[in-house]
Amino acid sequence: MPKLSLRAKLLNWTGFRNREDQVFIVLSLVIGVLVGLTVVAFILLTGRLAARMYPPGSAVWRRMLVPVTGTLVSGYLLFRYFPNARGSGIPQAKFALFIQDGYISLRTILGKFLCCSITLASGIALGREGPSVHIGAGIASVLGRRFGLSKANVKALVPVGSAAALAAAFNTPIAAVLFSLEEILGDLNAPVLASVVLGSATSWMVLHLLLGDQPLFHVPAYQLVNPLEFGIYAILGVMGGLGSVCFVKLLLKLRVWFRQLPESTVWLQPVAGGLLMGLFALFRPEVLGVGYDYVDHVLTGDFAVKIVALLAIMKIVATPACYSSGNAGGIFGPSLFIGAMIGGTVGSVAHTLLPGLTGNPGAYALVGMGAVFAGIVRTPITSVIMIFEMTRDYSIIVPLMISNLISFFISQQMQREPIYEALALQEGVYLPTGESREELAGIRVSEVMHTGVEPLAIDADIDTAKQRLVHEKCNSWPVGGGNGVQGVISGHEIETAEPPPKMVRDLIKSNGDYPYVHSDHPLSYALERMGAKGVDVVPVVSRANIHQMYGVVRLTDILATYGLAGAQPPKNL
Amino acid sequence: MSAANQTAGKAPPAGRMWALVAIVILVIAALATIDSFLENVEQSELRSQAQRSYAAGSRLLSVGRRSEAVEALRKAHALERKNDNYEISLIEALTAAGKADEAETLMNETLVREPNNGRANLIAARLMSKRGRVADAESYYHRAIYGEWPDNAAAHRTAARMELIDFLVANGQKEELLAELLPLEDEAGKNTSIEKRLAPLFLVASSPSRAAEAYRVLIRKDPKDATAYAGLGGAELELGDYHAAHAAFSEASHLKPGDPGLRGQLELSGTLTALDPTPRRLPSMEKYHRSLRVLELASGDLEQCVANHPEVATGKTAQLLKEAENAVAGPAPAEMTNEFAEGILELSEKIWQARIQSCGSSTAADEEPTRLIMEKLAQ
Repeated sequence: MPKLSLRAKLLNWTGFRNREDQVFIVLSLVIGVLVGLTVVAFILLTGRLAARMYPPGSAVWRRMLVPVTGTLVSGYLLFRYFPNARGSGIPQAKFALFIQDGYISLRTILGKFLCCSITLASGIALGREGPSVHIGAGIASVLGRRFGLSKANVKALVPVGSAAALAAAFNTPIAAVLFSLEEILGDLNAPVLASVVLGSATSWMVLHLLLGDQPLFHVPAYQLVNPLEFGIYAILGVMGGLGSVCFVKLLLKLRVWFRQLPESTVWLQPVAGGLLMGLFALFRPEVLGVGYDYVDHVLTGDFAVKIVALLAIMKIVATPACYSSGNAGGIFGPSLFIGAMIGGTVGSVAHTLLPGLTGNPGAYALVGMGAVFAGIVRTPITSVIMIFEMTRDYSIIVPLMISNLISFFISQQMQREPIYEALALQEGVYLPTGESREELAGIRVSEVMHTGVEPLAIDADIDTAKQRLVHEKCNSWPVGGGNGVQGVISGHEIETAEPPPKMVRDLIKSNGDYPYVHSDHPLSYALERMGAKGVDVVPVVSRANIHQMYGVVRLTDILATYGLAGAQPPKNL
Repeated sequence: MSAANQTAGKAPPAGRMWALVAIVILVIAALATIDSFLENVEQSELRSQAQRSYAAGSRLLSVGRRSEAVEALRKAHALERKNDNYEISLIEALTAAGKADEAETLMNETLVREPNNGRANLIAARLMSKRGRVADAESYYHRAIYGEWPDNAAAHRTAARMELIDFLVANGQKEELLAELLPLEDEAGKNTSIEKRLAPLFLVASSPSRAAEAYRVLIRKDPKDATAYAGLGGAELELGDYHAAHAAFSEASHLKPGDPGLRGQLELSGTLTALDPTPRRLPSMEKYHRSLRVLELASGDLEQCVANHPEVATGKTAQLLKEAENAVAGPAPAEMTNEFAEGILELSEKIWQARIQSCGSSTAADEEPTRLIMEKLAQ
């Protein structure tokens, strides 16, 4: 055996055997750093610009003029120079991932940064996290392409950039990883997990180096006063779910309405959102911008219930209007704001009615944030972890889970299509949803397998084998003998084998390397096995003994299960 | 990643690769510089905004506009969370505004982070005091006294102890009060204002001898201090030295003529001096007569008590009053000895005890001489 160099041993050990793998892993780190720095710059710049737009004690007219001017300027820039930088950024990152081979242009990144900075600084009720994700995914895409990675690896970098962005934007590295896998990829067990974690952790470290260790929200320590509170948290889950549904339906309906307007008005449409924002802000300036300062205030539990209820309604109207009219900005931040207001309202009413049995209304505001986020974005696991990371209060987890799941369930029942998929659908793009993937992954081999079939005898001659294939109307069939299944032969093998075989035994390899599946495998796995071995039938065998055949699964049956009943398998199978 | 790596990309040439690496490094450096600049700008702006809010909050708190003060201080705290001063001021304002729950929650967080912070513990003590949690308040006061103060620690500790003393006075905890007053004696030697506060507190803590000594020190420092003379008079009254008390009140009246309070005390001490049956070299006859006057006063007080509260009249009270009447009306013994007077005083004490049992502790000004004499007799 040749002696391996240390470098070769290391490469073997890490599994990074080729240049692409090495560049990929290094790029995951670089993306973490670069995205972290960019998102921090984005947050700081937006914050400082907003502070200049609305200096302390500024005149009331600014609340009307600034949003209108901001949306006018950003609307024109989006129309004229950066048409792909509209909206939140999450659907766009998913488009890039599933449709464009991970392609996001540098122009889009720059446009997103610029236009969102203007829009958010002018006080529009949209969030900075979605755009951050788009920017992060874009940076990953640009770097991947520039460094000559394959399209598949460029695609794989998109969730790395997304996670890095979210980790920096929310200061929530674990939730960022989960979000990337749960929402962007739709697969919590995706093979890019390690790179996503690497990107998220690096970006988070950059954030900490620059801004220190401060959670996004500061909350008083939570205490469950009475078990009855779980019931109130359940009610909060219901309210959060209903609020989420109102928000999503209004946003989708308004988006449809704006899309029907003449093409020539596209550049002016964002001003409609700015105008509404200005009108609302004249009455309640707290509705301006992402509103995290006010959320922080509400979390202390010291607020007037009428005001927070009004703000919840205002934001439920304002954010869909701003988003649908074509402004650049996300819905993460607003969903947290709405959740805090709904939670604050429920908590405050409960505390008034049952003062001795309920805790600080601030705790309800906190749980409400998670509930509405889970209802709107439909990522319940991410939501729980995100609120935990934001507040670093473990004791809130149980009420949070109760409210989140109820809100998620209600939202799922009343608005089947998740918001990002629904928005993509309006653009004419069919994104794979997590649910659809789960549904497909949920179909097992056992549901379509044929039992009571016999393998072809291993000592049969080739003519018998050909007749059996014709009889079974397929191009391949399992072969067996006294010891059970021994292999799978295909018509293609019979025709191409050299020298031409006389007996079935001549085609069967002795190493047992043949395709098979188990009855509890998903159908997708059976498809993969068929594709890898070029057969259209695989035996279903026992987990305890792979030679013991329970039945077979055919390609035609799988296609029929996926709704492709008339489809024919490729000829070369 | 390997799973996705089906089609290898076209690697850029080595030269271009290094150029790309250089560009990435430059971009990282540029972004880090921009971030640092923006962060500095933000911190500076937030700090000055927080300072403004803090100043406004402190001003509002000082003029009693507590709710507005809370809002301003809350803003200052939100803008600069690392500033303990803002946080503690907010707790103080919340306490003053009656938002005790929120104040306590915030305070607990502060104390977890800064368990030895003197100011935080003092605010916590005030909050506990407001919430009626006496033991907790005392504990926090002690932590404040022995806690860390960033500047002028001795003065802060003394002030905290003085606040604890006021708290103990308000809660009638005399033993604890004396324990807190004693450590202040050394401090008092350097600070006359503390000395002046300390002297009457010794009286409250039922330590008239220390009070008298403290007043004497004050008089030595300022022989024209009428208040000190009056205080000394009060301490001497408690000690039962009515003669010395009268002398002190006389001096106080001399220094501050026309003061009605002093005049009353002077009269009281004069009365007590004339009534006191205990001086050592008092002739037996005089002692007898003084004892009879004490008996008259005591039985008068009991009669008054029974008249005001007929329900408390019992056979025992009637019996005591009858005995007193007989003693007063009866002839003086031919050969006077101190034992006669002692017997009368014993009866007086019984009557006074009956008076206290029937109508409670005496607080009336007209009963003051009897009370003081009886207290002296009981010692």
